Amino acid sequence: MNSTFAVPAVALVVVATVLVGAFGLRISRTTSDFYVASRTVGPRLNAAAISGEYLSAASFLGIAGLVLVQGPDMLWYPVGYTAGYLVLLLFVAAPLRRSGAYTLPDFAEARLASQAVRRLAGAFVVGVGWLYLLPQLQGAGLTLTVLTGAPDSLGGLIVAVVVTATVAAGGMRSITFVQAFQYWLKLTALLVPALFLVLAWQADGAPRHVFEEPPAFRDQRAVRVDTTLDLKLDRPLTVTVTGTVDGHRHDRPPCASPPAPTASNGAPASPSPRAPPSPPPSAAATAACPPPSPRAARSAPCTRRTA
Amino acid sequence: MRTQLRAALAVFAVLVLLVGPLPLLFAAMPDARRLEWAVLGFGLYAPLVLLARWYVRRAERNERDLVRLVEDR
Repeated sequence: MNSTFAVPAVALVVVATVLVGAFGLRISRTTSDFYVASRTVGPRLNAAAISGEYLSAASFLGIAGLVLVQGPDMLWYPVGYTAGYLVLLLFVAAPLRRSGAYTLPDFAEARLASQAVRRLAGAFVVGVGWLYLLPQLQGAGLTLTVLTGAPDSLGGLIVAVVVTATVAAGGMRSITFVQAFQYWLKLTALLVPALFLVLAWQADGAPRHVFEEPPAFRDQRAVRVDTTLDLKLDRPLTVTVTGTVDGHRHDRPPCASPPAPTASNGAPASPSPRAPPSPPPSAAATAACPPPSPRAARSAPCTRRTA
Repeated sequence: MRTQLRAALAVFAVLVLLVGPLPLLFAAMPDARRLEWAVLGFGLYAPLVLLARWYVRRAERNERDLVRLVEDR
């Protein structure tokens, strides 16, 4: 996505979120106002709000990526979320509503008449919320970085500030409106491109084979790998080195490597294929195919000819 | 309260019986990729919604019954 549109688009969504939150703002006076909006939220609005929670960064981006990588088995995750909502309705939401408690710790205390259980339940709620929020904030930061190149923490920071301000000011009423608004926004933002993608796919003759192909770079690309990497070369790789690799001095005359079926010795190659490693060995290695790391270059037969 | 618990357990049992055999079914037919997409991606949600709807109706009827019982007395 073009970054000139990305910043105004993100800003627009943030401003709209704050405005919708302000629209729902009635200053919360009672506990009932704050937690359940005095039970004035209709089922449709509430359903939209809960579904807005469901369509989050983790569930949408995460499931799409998992299905792409691992196949349709990963569709069990959304099924699990939905079945989880049903179990939640049966064994938590309905008894909670009948008991008249507002929060899970309230409910635990009401049922078990124990202050310690209440504290434990509170700790669990905070802990689960923490585990849930962490990937969401990470997703927000990642998305904003991909869209605009902003620093990693900014997306999470914006989300945290906007949500905290909305909840603190308006309580459940504001946040329900915000979530319902975001549900319709996200649904539109997902369905419209999906519709056009399906149309484009159909217009292309509904090709299926492209999904079977292994992924390939169609043009030249710099790839940075921050972990150990084994390179297996099926064809001999010609490497020309001028300078010093791993403390060995290499002179100018270029050499072609003799045909070796596999030049990989299985040794873990050090990272940073393109960028020079941090203690710069001043090695200018030019490669035909996958960019070699200094150690792979040394293991290639030709460069062993030390002067 | 007992009727509410009974309704909840009944819905839960239906849920388990509905979803539980699915992995076995998919394991028995490893070639049925399209079926897996259809069931997991789309088909399974309708019965879940219907189950939830039935439970909510049932629970609200139980509540009304209780209120009527209390008021008649």
